[in-house]
Amino acid sequence: MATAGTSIKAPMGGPQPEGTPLAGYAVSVDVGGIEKELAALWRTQSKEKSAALTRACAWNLVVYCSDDGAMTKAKLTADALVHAVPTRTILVLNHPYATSGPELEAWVSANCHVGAGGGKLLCTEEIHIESRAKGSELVPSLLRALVVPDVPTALWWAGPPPDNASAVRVLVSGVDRLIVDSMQAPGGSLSKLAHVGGLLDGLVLVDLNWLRTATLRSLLASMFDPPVGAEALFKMRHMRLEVTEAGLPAAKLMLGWLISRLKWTVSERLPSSSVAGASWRLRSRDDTGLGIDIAIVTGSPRASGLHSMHFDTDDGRRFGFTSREREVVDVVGARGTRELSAGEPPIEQLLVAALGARGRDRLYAVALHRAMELER
Amino acid sequence: MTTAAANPLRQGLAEDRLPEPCTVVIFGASGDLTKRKLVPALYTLMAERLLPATFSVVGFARKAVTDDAFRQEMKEWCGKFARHKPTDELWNQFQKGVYFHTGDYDNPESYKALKVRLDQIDKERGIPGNRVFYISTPPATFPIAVKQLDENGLINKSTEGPFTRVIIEKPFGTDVASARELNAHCLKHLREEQIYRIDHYLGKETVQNLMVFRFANAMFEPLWNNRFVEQVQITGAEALGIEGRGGYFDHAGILRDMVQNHLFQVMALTAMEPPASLNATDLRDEKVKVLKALRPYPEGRFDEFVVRGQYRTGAVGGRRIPNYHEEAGVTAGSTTETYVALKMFIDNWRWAGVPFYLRSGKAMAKKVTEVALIFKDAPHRLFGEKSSTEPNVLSIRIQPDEGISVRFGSKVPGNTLDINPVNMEFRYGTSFGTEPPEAYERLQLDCMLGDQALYTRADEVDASWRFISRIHEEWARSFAKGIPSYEAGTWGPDESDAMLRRANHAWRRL
Repeated sequence: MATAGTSIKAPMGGPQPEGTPLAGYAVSVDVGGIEKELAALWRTQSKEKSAALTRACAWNLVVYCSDDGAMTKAKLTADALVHAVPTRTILVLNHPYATSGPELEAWVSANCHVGAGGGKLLCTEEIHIESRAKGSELVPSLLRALVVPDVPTALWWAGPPPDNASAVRVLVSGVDRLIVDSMQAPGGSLSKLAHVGGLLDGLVLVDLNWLRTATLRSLLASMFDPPVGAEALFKMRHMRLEVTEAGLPAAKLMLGWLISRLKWTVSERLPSSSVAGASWRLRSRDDTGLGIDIAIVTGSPRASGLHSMHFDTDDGRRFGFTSREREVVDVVGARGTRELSAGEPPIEQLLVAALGARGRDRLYAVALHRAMELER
Repeated sequence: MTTAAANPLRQGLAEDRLPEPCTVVIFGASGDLTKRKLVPALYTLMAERLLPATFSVVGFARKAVTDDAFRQEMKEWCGKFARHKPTDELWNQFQKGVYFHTGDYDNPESYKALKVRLDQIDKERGIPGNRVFYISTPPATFPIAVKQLDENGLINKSTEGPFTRVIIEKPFGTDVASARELNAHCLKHLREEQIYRIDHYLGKETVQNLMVFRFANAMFEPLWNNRFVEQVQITGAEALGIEGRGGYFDHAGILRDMVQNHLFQVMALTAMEPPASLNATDLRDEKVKVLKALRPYPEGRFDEFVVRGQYRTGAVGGRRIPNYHEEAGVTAGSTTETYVALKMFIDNWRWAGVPFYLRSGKAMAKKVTEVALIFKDAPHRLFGEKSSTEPNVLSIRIQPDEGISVRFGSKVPGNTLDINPVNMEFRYGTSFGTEPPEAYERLQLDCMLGDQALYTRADEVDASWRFISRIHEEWARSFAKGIPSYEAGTWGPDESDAMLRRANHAWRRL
């Protein structure tokens, strides 16, 4: 797939090379006339270009960034995303403590690439808004005016997940999907996210960290397919996970999932045998005790930080995996040790999945809720 | 044996379409289909995490090839044809489950040895004996392979325990008698639920979208009948000639190669009633009703409904195409049709009186497959002579440039009331960005999952052959009449245009 160019915000008022808006350069515009400027941009470019241009939009994607670093990363991801899901992307960056500069600034640009399988030049729109000091109060009204009608809206909170629901509600009313990454939760705590998620009734909460570890859940599940069978799951007596510091939320979500699926209950948190880790005692469905340890390791090839996970059963069997490379894990199961593929998709693919048709994942909601029990 | 559904960790997983661990055995592993489509599709499925972690592919053919040589060859072909190009890491994983087994299709010893090999692979890779046999060999070996598989203990006919499914490539028979014979033979060795008769058109995203378009949108279905539709045109045109397939094609002809299977399936999906559900039985019940409702051609009026042709020298897209008779493998004086056009009626309430025109040909002006519903004129010409004379058209493009377009009349800007036709277009590539999966990805995955909805059932095959065989019989009777020719790179013989002209219709210009 050929890309016509990457979006680079031009300096305010600086000279624009001819025909650059469709090559990804941002054009500074008056905030009150963003829509008008976009329309003018398309009219001009359609006349100038010999090939037909197609504007496409399947989602409004509002990207909320808390700082310049998050904005730079989010923008690169959003630019890659539009190759798979055409979106009108609205990047929002607030500088609440700024003491100079205009309250609101906006730039518009387009990302064009040749569509899948060749053919027409497919273009998506990107709007970049920066607010300073009290300008942030004006952002919600701007967003309300800028979302494309009849198209769903997703809010991607690029950075640590929001810690209060009203921040989300105020920013974009009528948002259909809130996308967060619990991997960035401060201190690896999921409780605030679960609390916010609970208050955002009617809105689909999608956690990129949950999607990131989907292959591992699938891999674990596959270990107990026939002929091994689920019986081994109920004989589990001890579980040990190794995670990086950043991998704690993924580990808790994985445990939350197991707790919910296997109907375990958390009895107590134990003093950890590892300095930086955590341990719990759980009760299984048949009221037998079950110990869980999380140990912190310094590195892992997996983006989620979930490095290894092993179960021991009361009849001496062992199941689990250890990450070896980015896409490969060594699996221990009923048939000895094997090397299997279990990669974690890059962030743009996670976003594609987050905007997928599936919507609310009940399994996640339950896993998040049960993971909170580990934090009590 | 317990099933995967009994595993509490499986419940609710996003990958609810993940098949159970299994082995796909490809008969005809040295053939083009394996290299260009089947293995690249399996690799892509793995790259998209749609295959179980424990999965294997075994190529079976007469050629003596080592596992490593087969793996190396498949890597090259995946590099050329898979949607996901092999990366070292992923390919390394995939190739560990790729094997080659040399054997003769008619030698029981080869099957016994295959069984030993598969049992060994199951043990090594933790596969519980689930197997898909993909028979992609010359048609004459289909019955032999099925019989040998059964007689050598490779088929579990029970509904309990590991599954055995058999995919049979087209053509499923060459006429109604041979199709029935093959069906009966297969049913001696397999249950119908184990037989997957493949028609790769059904795996195409746009063909499936025909159903979505019709049944997920309330605005089109009310127009989808004889009250509003004047005629339906289905085109399956190839720009290529027979390109070295003369030996096969000269025996088959375009009617067998394209119409009996692909275009009839597209027609059935276009014309069928809404199924009660999307399960295999309900969907195929509706398709078969359409095929059974096809009106037989009246005695003595065959030429009013069927036109065939054969291409002669010409050029397609700036490339010279030789006369069909000069193609390698074509017998001297052959009357095999490289073009066919059919006028058909579906005798049911929905479609009574609406002609369905089907055309398919080799060496035509361009490659295009589409379905077009051409609507009746507005009941009153309010705008008189200034009205457009072009009817409304709803066209569904299956390939290339997949999408849907609607043609309607619009006022030409200005101070007069001139009306011109304009097109409103939806294109897959511009709305979704992602490339649709290859048909063989979807179909192989469905088979591993035990979903037969996109495979054809015995009675569908029978009904379509019944109609097609009558045409072949008539052609055999009128052999002396010869066959009209058309210049390569055009839209077929004049007789085809004349057939539509008689009803005051014309083929769409594509």
